[in-house]
Amino acid sequence: MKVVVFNGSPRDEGNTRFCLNIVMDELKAAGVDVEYVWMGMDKIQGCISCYRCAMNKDKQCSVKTDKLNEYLAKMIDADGIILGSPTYFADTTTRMKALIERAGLVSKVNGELLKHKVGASVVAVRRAGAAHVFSSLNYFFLISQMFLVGSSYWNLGVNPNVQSAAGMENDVEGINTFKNLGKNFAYLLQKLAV
Amino acid sequence: MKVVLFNGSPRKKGNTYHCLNFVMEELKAAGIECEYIWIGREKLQGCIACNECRVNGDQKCTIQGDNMNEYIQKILESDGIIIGSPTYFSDLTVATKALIERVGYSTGRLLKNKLGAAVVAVRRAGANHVFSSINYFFLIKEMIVVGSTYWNVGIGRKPGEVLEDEEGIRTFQNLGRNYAYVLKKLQI
Repeated sequence: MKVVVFNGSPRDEGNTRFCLNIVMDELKAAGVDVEYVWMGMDKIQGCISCYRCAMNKDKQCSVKTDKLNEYLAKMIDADGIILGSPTYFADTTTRMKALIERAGLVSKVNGELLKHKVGASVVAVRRAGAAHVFSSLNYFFLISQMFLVGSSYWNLGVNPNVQSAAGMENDVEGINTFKNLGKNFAYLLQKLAV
Repeated sequence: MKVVLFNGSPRKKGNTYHCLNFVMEELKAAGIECEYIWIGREKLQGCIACNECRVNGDQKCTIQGDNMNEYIQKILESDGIIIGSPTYFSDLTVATKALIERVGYSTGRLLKNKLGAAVVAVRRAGANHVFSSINYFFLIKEMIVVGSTYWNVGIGRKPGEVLEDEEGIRTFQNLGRNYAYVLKKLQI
């Protein structure tokens, strides 16, 4: 069982990473292979609506000037996908949105490549807007015929400090949410693997 | 395996009913027992934040006089829940919201690993917001939410108009199949 985790934060070691690490630790403890991908500083563009992916049907985005196809191959290869993002203007980051648009469309037009994989979103926030980010990320999974995992709260961590992860350790409920998410994610993966 | 479906539309046989029906037919074809409950005309009040359900810990809402405790019981006994609502002011209906609040607060962690799906009927716009509003309920209750080929949305205004929404019908049929697939996996 393998899970690929994408961090769409421009900070590799910031609050989003702190939250993702808790989920990843739970997955690893359950014997799941985890690959972490930080793409929050990538120069990755959005979908240009050329629809070549629908014509070529080669599981590739025809924009080949960035790492999208590498990321998509990791998604196709994995049993589960986790998307992490901080809250920017009450929504996900530009890089994460690019990943969603292009990986989502290429998967769809190639016969639903992500069908029956497991998904979860992870959100870091200073104060408000996280639930909207959470929905934006979840739309990707739910239109891809994936199974979305819940937790004891929506998967978000709150830290008034946006500059670094210092202080995120005080969000006890957030930490518990991510631990429960990791456990629930591993549970479903194991059930689906039977 | 049992799934309970709630229709929060005030119309008994409106578009939400038809949308739910497409999902239900797939579930039944897969051998899953379905119970369909129409709540859209019931006087279900919202949570009054008395906190007594938490103090008592008995999975009962202390508000008397409506069917909520019966619904809580049905949900606790089921393996999956499907909640359908039309789009009212870009969100779910009052009956649907009352169900979410009171079931949500009174059931602790007992809905964990049950299956969930939202089904939305819409005339034109706002369906995705309804879809999210219902999914928030499942995702904070540690449930598993099932996806489809599109968001679970059917387009139509007059009762039955959704029967002409071919993509909507396909979405609900695929949702039903995916729901049955994972429900069976969870039994193993």
